[in-house]
Amino acid sequence: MKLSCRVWSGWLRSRRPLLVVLASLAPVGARGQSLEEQVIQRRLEFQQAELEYEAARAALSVVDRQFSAALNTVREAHRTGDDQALESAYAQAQARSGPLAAQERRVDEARQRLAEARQAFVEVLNLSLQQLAVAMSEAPTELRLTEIDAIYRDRRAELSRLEDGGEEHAFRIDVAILPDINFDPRDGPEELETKAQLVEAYAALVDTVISDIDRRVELLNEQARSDRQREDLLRAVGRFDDTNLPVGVTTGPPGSDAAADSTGVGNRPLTLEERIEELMSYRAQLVGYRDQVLIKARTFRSRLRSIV
Amino acid sequence: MRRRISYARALVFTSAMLAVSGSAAPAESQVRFRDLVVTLGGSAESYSGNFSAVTLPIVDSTEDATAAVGEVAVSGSLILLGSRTRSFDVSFDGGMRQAAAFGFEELDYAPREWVGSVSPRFIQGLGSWGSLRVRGLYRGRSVQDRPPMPLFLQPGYSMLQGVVGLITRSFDGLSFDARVDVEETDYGALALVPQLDLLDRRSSGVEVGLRWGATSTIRVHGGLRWTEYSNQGSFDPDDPFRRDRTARVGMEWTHSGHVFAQVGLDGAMNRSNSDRPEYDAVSFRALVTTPLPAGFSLNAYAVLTDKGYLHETDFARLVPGEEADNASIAYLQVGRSLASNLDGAVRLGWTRAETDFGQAYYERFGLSVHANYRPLTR
Repeated sequence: MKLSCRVWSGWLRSRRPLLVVLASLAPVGARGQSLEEQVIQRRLEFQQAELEYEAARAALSVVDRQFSAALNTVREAHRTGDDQALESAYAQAQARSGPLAAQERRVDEARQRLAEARQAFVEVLNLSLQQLAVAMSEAPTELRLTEIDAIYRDRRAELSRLEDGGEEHAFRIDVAILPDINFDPRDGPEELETKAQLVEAYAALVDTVISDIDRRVELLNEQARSDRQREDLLRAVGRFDDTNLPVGVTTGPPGSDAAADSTGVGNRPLTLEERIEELMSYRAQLVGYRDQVLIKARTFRSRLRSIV
Repeated sequence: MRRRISYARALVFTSAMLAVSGSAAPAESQVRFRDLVVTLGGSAESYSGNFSAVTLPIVDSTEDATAAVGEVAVSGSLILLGSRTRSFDVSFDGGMRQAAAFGFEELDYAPREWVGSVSPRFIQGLGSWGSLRVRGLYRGRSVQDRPPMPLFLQPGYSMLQGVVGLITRSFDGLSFDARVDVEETDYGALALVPQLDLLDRRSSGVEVGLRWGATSTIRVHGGLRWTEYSNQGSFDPDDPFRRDRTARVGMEWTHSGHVFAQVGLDGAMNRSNSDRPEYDAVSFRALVTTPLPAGFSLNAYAVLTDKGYLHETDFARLVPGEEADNASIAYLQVGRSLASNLDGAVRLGWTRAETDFGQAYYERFGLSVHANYRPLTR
């Protein structure tokens, strides 16, 4: 949250002149806020919801691993025939199944809050764009027009990202920057162990994101398959005029009408295939990034071994 | 067959020119195929009924016929220009369907249908306000050895259509759309069946719509259409050829989620300079797609149409002996991906059309198996 506030205060400082222009244009909202203040507030709420969602997923990943480890212990005890160990392992697995269910509920709730925050942000961005369009048409000078236009473009791009990505915007790792955990010549075994664990935990987080991408790609693929088969049906029954009966009322297959197309905005949303392609590209970057992180972790381990 | 340049052709030409003029940007002009599909299919069909069709040169006394049918088709789109704000593509679809028909009293038939269509489409984003769409469509169809009823096959024709449409983005949750289209359809009448020319028509229409919602959307729409049948008489010496005006209103609900569902209801009022084709009609349609276990999916599509004429006449309507008063279509398909680029499907189809006049009808049942191969999909 602190990080998020720092980022936004920087953003606000860099755009203060433009915001002053906007503030003078924006009417006061229903709750005493200008539209501009509502945009900023809902953006922060959206970001907060994103962070909470990601934190919930990361926590779920940890609990899930603990539960899986407990199950492995059960299997191992079962294999060796150690009844006492088996009983103990069962108890441990049972104890860990509770937190797992609770954490799954938490992720679901966080996902719901994120969806609501996204929708609220989209709505206020749409209103803001309308107001900016009016402001541009009434801009008294070229300079002010340019200023408003810059904000308009930013907002438009922001809206497009929100509309395109949906869940994809939940969390992104910047693959250009490795975790800022570095070797210090003064590091002793304890520090090296801690740093290695931190870097490994980060690699595990990247793994979680990769798994999540795989899940999303599978869902998108399923949807694409379903859409494809529906389109095949409509194309096939219309191809030989089997749906064109002599009743005088033309009723083409649904979706055949240009006006029925829902991609009405100027910048069209990404197609399913484009979304899959984008996710797979990001996944490939993440895999490479995770491997680099693991190399860094191995370096810490190797140094640790050399001094112990 | 007429080959004059019509306003429809002019619009198609204009759309192509617009697209070509818009395709200058080299960065956006990567040409590629989208969804190239090769379809192979086979089906068993049964037909029954006593419906008569004046556009057929032959009649047969049977009320039951069967057919074994095979088909092959190719469809896809060629994207000539593609960006987030502007695109130009050309869709095409062509196929051949061969049937071997049995059960007729006089002789057996082997009808062969050839169909093809090509549709250039240009979309231009209009800033944040919406997008402009210009589309042309040419569609051709020919039928060899067209059998008598009850095995109903649409006769051959060629059709040209041009459409200009506008779709806006959402304003306070509402988006608007509008379209204007012109169309010319020419039925290729043979010397033995000049009656087919009765179906020749020219029409133009305008439609506006309003849509709201996100995962579930509702669209209401209304439109007007003007149609000229230059080969049909109106029985009015001062205005001798049939001219119709049709007003349509409708609504459509669409849910796009794990299950896709779409339901539409349309009403039409057709008025004419001739009494006999004046009617009111209502049409209902539904489309559902849902995933099933083990990678299967279920698709269902149905259309029901009912018509009521305003004036009593002693003879059959519109194109005498061929117009139905109501019609129903239903398809049920179960499909599954067999490989990443191969889908298989089993489909049941049912069609029934009836007239109040003389209780005439025809009905069709079909069971078919289809394979859709996408050679460009990895």
